[in-house]
Amino acid sequence: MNQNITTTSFENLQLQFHQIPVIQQVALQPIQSKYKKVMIYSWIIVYSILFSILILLCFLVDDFIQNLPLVYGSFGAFFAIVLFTFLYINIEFKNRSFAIRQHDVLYKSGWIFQKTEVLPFSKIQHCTLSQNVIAKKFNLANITFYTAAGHGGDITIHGLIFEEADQLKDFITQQNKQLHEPKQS
Amino acid sequence: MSQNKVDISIPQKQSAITLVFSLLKVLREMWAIFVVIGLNLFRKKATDFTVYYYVFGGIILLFLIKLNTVLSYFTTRFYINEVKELVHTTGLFERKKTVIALHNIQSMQASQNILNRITNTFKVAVQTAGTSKAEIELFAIQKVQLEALQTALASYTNKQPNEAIENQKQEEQYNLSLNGLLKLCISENHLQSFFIIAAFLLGKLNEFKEYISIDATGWLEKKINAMSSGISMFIVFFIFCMMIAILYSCIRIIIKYANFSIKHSNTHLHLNWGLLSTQRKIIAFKKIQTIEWKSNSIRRLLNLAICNIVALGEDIGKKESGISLPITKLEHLESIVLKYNENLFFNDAEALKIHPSYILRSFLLLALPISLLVCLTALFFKKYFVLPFIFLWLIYFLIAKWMFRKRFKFFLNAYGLKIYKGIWGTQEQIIVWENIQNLSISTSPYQRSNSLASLHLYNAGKLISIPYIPLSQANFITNYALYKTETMI
Repeated sequence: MNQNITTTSFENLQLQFHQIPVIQQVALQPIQSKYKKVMIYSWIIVYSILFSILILLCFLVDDFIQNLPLVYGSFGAFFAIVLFTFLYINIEFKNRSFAIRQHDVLYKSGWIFQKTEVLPFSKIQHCTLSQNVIAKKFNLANITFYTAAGHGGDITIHGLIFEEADQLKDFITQQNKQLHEPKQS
Repeated sequence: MSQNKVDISIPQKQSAITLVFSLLKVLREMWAIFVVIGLNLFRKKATDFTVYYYVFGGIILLFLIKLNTVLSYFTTRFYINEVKELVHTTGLFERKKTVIALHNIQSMQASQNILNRITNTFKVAVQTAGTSKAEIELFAIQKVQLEALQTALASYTNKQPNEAIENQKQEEQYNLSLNGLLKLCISENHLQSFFIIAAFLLGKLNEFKEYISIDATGWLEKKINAMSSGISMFIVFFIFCMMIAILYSCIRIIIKYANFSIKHSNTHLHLNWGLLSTQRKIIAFKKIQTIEWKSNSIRRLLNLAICNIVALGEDIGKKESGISLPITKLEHLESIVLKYNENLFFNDAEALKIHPSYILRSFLLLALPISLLVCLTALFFKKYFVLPFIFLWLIYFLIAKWMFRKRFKFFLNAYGLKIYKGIWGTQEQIIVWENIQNLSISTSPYQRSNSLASLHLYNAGKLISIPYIPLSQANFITNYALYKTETMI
């Protein structure tokens, strides 16, 4: 079955399905544990702002503070959402992992609904590095790979060491260039 | 063989009629301001003339700001340089230079509106991949300039200029006949048109209700209440509205598809369409990402389909991206698919289906939470009449999901994937493995415990989802698609 047919100018070897590389066997690498702190601090800032607005409502809107069920309901819902967010971060963080293969990048994320994305290098249009203030403090960066598929087809890997992310960007740019050079020549 | 009288390597100017187009564009951008100011003045009946001075002063100021658009005609140039790049320079106060390598150009669309037709000029939009709008837009260029641009682009894409021109001469042609146009008009989704018109009119009436003293929503509520007392009144009203909707959709179809023709060479698809505004489009087959065709129940009976072609450089941000081609004979569709890729036939392939649990899981995860939320809100506001509608919607949801699951089939071969789906109509999609940009496998807790997964394939233009298939199948498709994409040279 597995015959190797060779001609002088063209090869068309038969390939068995077990010879095709499989993504299930890839050992995924977790993202930096420091990134969990970045996520927590970012959400603390967001919720602090929301909490301040809620407090302001209590002081500024008389109808709001006089309606006690509404006040208890609002604060109860607020703290329930905060609790869920931090629980989600703790559990979901464990599932965030990625892998770089010779020809593609894999990224796994999600808690209840899990998702594994695979992006071939040859399809990357460009990639960008980004850092917010908190991530900068921890020397972390996010790398986003853009494809021609638009927003839905882009992948962002969060929480990489900045230098590593920069190296990864260079590596992928180089790989992409090598893949496209013969076409352009 | 047509001779190009223009040397496109020398910077070219647009036609002088561009000045009129630019002026109209500025006025079109400012029309809303004129309406609001005009209505306000009319309503207030101002006697103090200083108000008018401020208003007209403001309009003149705005116009001066926009003057850049008008006068940029004098500075706009376009040409193809020696390193095969399309160069476009424009701007009066702020100079802008756009350079696009010819191999990065995904599409070049030429169109003509009435003014273009009178002056025998063409509007041209040049697009590259991954963008939602044209990178270069020329309002009015001469036919010879357009031909020079098209020849340069086609010759670069084919890398054999003479052969490309020869091929264009041997094109087959398919014209949409009057009979076909009528069939399309009859089979259009008139109910959808009805809702589009109703929503548009209600929206506009509500927007201007302050100025025109008509409360559209209130009027409609009154009419509906009045109608509930007599069924005959309701039937008359419905027939009247449907007649308007049918008229509207017929006009829309005629404007859109009149003079529709398809030509195809070995490398390109040439399309012409439009009644008032003639559109011309050339798509290279190798840039086509997805071909799909749809038929509603009536169109299936009439053997009609609307074929949607999504090519690189189309407005992929839009929900309905791509170009729609009306197909009146199945052979035309087969010939387009054959030209696109001769291996995309799945007659011998096994039909794969989605798991039966898809129906109930969609109901539990989507329909039930939404309906519970709406029910609770309705109960809170004591709007009990909403409850039967929610119940009906739940039944419809279940039937629709059952139909979807029953009809959903997908076929694989070594070159691509075909999906057959539809609830009340049919929809078929074809993609080539190499065109897939990104893949993802998603799982819910239920899917994980039952070794199921949903597969999402992104290409430049469409997201193709295959829900609730065995995990092993999803993994196999992913691995095979990656293998095909990554071994492509």
